Amino acid sequence: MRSLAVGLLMCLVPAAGIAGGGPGEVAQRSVGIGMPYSVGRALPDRSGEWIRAAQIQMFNPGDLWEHINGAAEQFLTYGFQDLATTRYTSDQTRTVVVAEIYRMGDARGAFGIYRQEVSPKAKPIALGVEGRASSNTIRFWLGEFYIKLTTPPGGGRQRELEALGAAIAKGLGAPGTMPAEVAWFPAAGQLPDSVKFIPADALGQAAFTNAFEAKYEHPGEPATAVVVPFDSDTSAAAALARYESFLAKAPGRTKVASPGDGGFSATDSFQGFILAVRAGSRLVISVGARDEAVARARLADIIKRLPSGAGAPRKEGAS
Amino acid sequence: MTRVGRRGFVRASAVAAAAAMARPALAAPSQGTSDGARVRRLKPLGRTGWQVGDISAGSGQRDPAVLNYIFESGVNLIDTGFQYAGHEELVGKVLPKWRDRVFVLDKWDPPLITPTVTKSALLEALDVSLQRLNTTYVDCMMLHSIGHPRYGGLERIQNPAIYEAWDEAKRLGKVRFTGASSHGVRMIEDMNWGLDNNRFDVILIGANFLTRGVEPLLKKARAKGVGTIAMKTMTTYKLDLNIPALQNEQTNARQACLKWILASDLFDTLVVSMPNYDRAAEYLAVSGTTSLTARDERYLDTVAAEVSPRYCRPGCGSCHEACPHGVPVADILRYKMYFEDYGEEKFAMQRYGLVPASTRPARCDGCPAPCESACPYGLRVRERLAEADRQLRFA
Repeated sequence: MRSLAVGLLMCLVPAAGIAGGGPGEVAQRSVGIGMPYSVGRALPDRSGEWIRAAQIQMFNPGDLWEHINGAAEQFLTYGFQDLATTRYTSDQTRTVVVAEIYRMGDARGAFGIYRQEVSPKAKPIALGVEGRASSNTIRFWLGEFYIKLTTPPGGGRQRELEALGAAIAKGLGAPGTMPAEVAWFPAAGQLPDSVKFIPADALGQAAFTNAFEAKYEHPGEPATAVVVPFDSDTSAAAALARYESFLAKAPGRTKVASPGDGGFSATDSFQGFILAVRAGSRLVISVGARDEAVARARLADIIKRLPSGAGAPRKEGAS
Repeated sequence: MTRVGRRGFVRASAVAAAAAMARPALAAPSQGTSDGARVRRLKPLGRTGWQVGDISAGSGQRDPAVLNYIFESGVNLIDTGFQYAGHEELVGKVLPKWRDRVFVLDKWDPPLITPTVTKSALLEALDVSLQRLNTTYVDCMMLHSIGHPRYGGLERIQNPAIYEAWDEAKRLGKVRFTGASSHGVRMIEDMNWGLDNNRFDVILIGANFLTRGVEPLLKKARAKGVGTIAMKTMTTYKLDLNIPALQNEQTNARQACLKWILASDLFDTLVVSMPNYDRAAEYLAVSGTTSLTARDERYLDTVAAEVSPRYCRPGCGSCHEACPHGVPVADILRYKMYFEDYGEEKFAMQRYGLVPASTRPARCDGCPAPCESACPYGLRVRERLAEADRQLRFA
């Protein structure tokens, strides 16, 4: 629980500052540096043609649903901390932009929710660690922040939106780097930007948290590779046994001695061929590859790339 | 604590249940930890002609295989929406196999629905959703989160362009039925407008064993042949009830919450988030329920004792409307909840700081507190507001 002393300190921040009604209130927006809610400071009153036209609103895990309804559930699993949002209008075209800065607690959460929300068909843009633009939305992430700028359908103005995004990014500090886990997955055959962080329920298993996955595409062979960390070899072995038990009805279930510390293979009617092995404290799983040899080789390649030691600690917020 | 009106609300009509009951003729799931947990009861979804399972799926899945398992288990309605990042696409990976056996309920992005949105913008957004869903039509296209002041007032859904877009989409075969969802403070008002003007075929509302006052709305919907679906069935927003008094019986309590809806004859189905195989099996295990046991009642009593004193029910803004001074009662009590229950002191105080001094609880001095008589749940509103002011005000 956060301390009351910190809570009281927060109140030294002029509330009207955070909720300033427009650019005329710049002087009031001197929010304390280093405080979580100073994220609102990254939303400029004016940037190029964009003028802030509404209060900056804040949401936290308790009321994010007021802002994005059921979508909040997913943000919470990615470690959502708080959100600053406001609206801008263009003084040239009257186009409206909704700007949202989600603080996700760490880079993994920001990367995770970004990759979850963004369409791989959207055009890459040079904002943050990575970003993409679709017809009316630009998304990017940097540090622990996930940023989204949205215009109504047909709003256009992508270049100007990117300029606003750059102005916001400037107020959020150093961008940081991609999560190290991205490098676990070999590039050969990997679909671009397909690595994702899955904080909970990977492969539908309640025990599979804080996983990373990547999609692979060889001719006629879409497949997913998943790495699930546990806190010990024993925990990983127990999870592997439960997963095998879950797939008890799957035909062709066979024990395998390698790669890694071995595991089993089976064929699921919906997911196709599954190869699941343990590598120390991690499970490494291939789902969907038609060619068993390809699946084996890919998992072996991933295992070579895994750092030694236990998997990453459980991310706060994962259910 | 007795939940006022609960037993009066539940009408576990065995006759009606028997008449509506039918077994889905679907194969057993290929995988799963469940011991055959599956949908065991079908009911007509209003006038749509669809026989819907009593338990339906919300948007919690992250793996298409889980959704496939859910459909294999007899669930035949999926609730999705543009706003649920990536979920329409996930449904699209599974839907082709099930298209004629699953009722797809989709929703426009809430901010899109404004008093000035155009028919073409709505149809364009529909096409985007259809592409994501990998289908040529949705069974029901809904207005998402009506009755929520954040997105605007009633005028938002009175925009004729919405209904022109629906008509056009139906003509093009892209939409079969229409409706709206809500768990906002103006839920009942906005839903009533839609029903009175015959705009909705299906409604999706926040409702659970603690809510009260939605019966007339549901009865009106019934009388008009409008399908009724419950969401937010477990009272709290979080997936887990997380109530210490329940200790290791969270599963039973969650199931009791679902069973309360299942035992009501005013709902055709409920939607609940099923993010993994275990949770899907847990929920499906209570399908077919038509009454509550004494044990269920005890679990609900435990949940009520924990949640009820501070839980502002969907669709209830009674206190706010009763205040002659415009004190945002529900908001302030919510900030108090953040402070006390969520350990979010800073956030609560920051939010409270945004309440204008002219509408803070200082205005309650000498007031006869019509908010208290207006609260249908008997909360000591004035006392709690004064407490909130002491907790949240920095002075």
